[in-house]
Amino acid sequence: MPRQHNESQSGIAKELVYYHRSYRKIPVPEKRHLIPFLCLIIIIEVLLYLFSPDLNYLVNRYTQKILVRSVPFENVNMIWTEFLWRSITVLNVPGSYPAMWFTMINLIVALLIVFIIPQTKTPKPITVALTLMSLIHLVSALFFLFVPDRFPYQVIDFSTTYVVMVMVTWFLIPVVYGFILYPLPSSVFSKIFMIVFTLTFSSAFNIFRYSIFLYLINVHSFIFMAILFFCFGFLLDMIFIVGFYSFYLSLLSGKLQHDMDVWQWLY
Amino acid sequence: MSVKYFLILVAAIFLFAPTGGVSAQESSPRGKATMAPVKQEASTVISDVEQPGDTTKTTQEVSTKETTNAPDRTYLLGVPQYILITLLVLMAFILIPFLPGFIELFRPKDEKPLALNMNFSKDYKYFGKSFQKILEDGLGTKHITEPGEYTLMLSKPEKVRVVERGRVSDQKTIDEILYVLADFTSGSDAEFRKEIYVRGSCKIGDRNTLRALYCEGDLVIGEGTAVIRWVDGDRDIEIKEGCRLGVSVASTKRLAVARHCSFSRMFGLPILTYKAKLPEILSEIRVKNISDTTMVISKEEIILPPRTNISNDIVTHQRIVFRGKSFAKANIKSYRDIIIEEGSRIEGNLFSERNVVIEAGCTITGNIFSQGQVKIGNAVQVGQEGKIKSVIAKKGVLVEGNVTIYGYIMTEGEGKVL
Amino acid sequence: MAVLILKIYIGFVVFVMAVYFTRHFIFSMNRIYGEQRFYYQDIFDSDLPFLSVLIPMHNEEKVASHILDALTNADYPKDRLELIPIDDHSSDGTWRILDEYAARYPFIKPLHRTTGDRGKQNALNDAIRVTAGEIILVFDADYLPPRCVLRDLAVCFNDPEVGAAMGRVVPVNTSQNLLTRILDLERSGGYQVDQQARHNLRLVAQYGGTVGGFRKKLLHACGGFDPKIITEDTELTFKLYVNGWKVAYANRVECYEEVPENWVTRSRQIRRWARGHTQVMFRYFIPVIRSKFLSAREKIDGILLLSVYAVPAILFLGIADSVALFFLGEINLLTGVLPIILTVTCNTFGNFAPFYQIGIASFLDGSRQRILLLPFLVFNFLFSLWYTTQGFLDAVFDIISTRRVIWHKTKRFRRSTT
Repeated sequence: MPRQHNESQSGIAKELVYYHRSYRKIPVPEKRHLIPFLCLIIIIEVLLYLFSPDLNYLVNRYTQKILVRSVPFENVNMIWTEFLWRSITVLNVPGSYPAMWFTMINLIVALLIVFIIPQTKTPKPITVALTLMSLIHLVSALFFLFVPDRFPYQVIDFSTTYVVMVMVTWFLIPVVYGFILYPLPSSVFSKIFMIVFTLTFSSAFNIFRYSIFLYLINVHSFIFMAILFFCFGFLLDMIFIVGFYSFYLSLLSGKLQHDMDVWQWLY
Repeated sequence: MSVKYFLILVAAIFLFAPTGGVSAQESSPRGKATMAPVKQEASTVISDVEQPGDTTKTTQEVSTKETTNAPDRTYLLGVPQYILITLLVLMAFILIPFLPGFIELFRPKDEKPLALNMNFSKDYKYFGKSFQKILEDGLGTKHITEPGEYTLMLSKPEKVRVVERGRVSDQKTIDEILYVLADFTSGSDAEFRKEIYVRGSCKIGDRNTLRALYCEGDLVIGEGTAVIRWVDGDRDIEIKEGCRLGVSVASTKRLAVARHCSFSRMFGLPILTYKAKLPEILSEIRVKNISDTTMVISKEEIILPPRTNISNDIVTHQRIVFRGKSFAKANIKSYRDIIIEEGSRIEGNLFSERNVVIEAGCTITGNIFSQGQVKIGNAVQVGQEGKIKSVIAKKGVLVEGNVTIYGYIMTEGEGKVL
Repeated sequence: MAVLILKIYIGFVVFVMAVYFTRHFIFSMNRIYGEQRFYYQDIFDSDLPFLSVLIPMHNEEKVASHILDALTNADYPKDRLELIPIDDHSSDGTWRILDEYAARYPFIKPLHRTTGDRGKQNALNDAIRVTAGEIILVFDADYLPPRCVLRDLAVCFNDPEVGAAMGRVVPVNTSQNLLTRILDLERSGGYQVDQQARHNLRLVAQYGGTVGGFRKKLLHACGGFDPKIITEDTELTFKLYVNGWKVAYANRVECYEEVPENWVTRSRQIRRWARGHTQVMFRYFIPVIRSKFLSAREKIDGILLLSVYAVPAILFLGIADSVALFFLGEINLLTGVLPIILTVTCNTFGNFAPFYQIGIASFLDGSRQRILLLPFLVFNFLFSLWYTTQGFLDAVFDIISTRRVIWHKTKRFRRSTT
């Protein structure tokens, strides 16, 4: 079994034999690194708690700037509400109910995707993704077809929910990264940088996502609320986390593969 | 079939869908949606909520401010231009985490399967055979009969010195691969930074440092010698006291190891440790406690009394102790320690998730495998002549004198001949 | 009342997701940091059991010669070995290839099945009746075992507790397209981390039906493979564990396999696995809980492993539940709960190994750029959710309707017969 040889004492030239992948591992991080890392995560969470309303306000301001160029500007209102004992802003635009013919079109398109697309040569993962999204949209269309009066939400409800979900996502990002990055043999600074970068990315992303969401609901009605909520909400944030994590790990892996100090064998 | 279902459903919808449309029926200028009545409670500014900092604007003021600066709105394909741009930016954001993946997908750098050595076959003489093959393939060493200097292409060119017979004096350092056509001897404190191949017999002096050595004849390694990588012999190998034996020592014949040597892997038929005073194994068992006469099973351990005779495999989660002169024709597996007390004979394999202790004078005809440490006492025999068995211990092996092991001993920790 | 039930179900989904998240996190931490439990591959033993290697084949002319070439090259003593390729109702040239090899090698003894029901379980049952070996190893026809695999798998049966052994499966056709690359990542996560962690923690390691083997006498005692269960390997795993035997996982014993190269084939494969695994779940859920041979940890892990193909169905229903709650005006519940569902769900971003588990596996494997493909697992996640749910429903319907199960083999993609 390949092993490392420590030949420094003899002066004989070192020839590295790397540990086989089957039982190699990395040393347990020293406990003294855990506390500072945890503390940094907690500090980030506290800072988020203190400043997320301001960040949220900033995001909403930029969203508002985009929206006023797209919808009747007098309809774009910023409203204060409360989340975790802090005041946050949400944007409100008038919503609209779908007309019958529009509902029917949506329904037919959803049915088309569910029944016809799988018969085409569309790659299966795309078919499945479209089918799942279409099923949600189908339910929405049926709802608006048969019981539109019972739709329980206004835009403000959706908006509040969306903003709260985004802020929950912000709070979750350091936690998720804490779990998945802590085990890796890299510097605390780089891990914190990843968290901050992702938070920044998420904030910027939300400006554009929020604008599109509100535009769709304002102009094209509540019928899209469900699909926006379920398919383009938190799932996309998770993709970012996975994407940035994979980039980070790939760089780390390239850097450490030939670093014998990083690896242990068996125990 | 799916088209049929689709058409049926569409027909059903047209048949059974409510007519008359939705309530609140003002059509919008675009004819596609109707404005919903805004519920009062949802849109009311919550006036008792603390307003932050200097942003004490009310929603009315925000709207008013925006009203006075109404921007022009350009449409593209019926959609406001800003929304189209926003949509494009949004899609770009979504694509960003996929971008490195797309690059790897279309210009792959790591798409090959994990490398497996399809011809890998575990061989206790792996190092020696590989080296032999390299020399044979590179220099045709089987046909070399005259001394000379050669170059062997490995990862970089390596000098090979072929000598008739070798004698290296004390404290000399050799920087090239040595190929010795007959016998070879080295003085004390010599250092060999490259491999040595000896066709005859070989005697390495005391306190040498060897990178690797292959010997076709008998081999003696002097006291205090350090082997960095491996030693392989076709005949008897004798290791003197205090040697450090590197990664592997293998002989197809006898391998004798003196005390205070450390090792990782050894192979010999057999491996013999130094001769020491043989242990006294009392023929009579004095009755002192209950386990001298009775099988004791507690939560922590099973103690089998002396002269126990077992003929079925045992698997236990407790520590298991075979008291002296027991006999088992069975495989023993324990999740804790296995203790075989003196004079016992186990005709089977021992597997422990922790440690194995074989006391003096025992015979184990099978393999010993431990996730912990193995301690082999004085005059223990492992295996039998004509067969190959193994002692494998993850965390270390301690071996006393007069031990005979027919086969292989290996540890990922430290192996020591005490 | 209905809303209450829906909310309770959401709570249940969150609980299930949290449990699996915890499980996978523990496995990942154990694999990257924890003490690794040795397998037995370092044992040199001259007493090797007589081995019968079974290779079920149905229309495998593309791949038959490859595996036979690989196995004839094995370093296992041929007088202790028989290869039994099972020509299971083949309509192509498979039978001719097998007969050619049988003519060349006396230890190759093909079994041609032309009567009886088709299917891997039936083929194995028939073949086991004619085997001479005490240990049976099974390879699927598309596998490419290295020289040492037979010996490394056989040696673990010295341990009296081991009933079956399983090696690591490595995709060989990784470079074909996105699917094969994703499956390569999945396999990495599943074997390098998941299986090895379960072996380390002495939980329920799974016998996978290929690159593995079992004791013949155990299968006889259990009455052979049940033709009604598609995943005979999973059934054997639980049959063994419930009766006190263990499965040894050998991370070092690696073998190439072919993964599906198109999504249609993959959808059938995963649907079949889900169906079979769910059948096993229904059959062994209570026996696992009641088994006196399993520790509490093993029972918990056994239940979680049994239920692993039910999780996508649970999640699918959870999503439907969330949609229902949404339209019932329960959006506030969803705001708090949905991110949690999705966090833990998306921690399973990658079918059954979460993305970080796959990342760690690739890191341990020494891979680099392939890690960049992790975001693409989102497609695989949705895809697997869909087809696994269908497989789960198939199994439910099997039980309700007691319909006959027909086994379908996975399509092969190898491009040349040489």
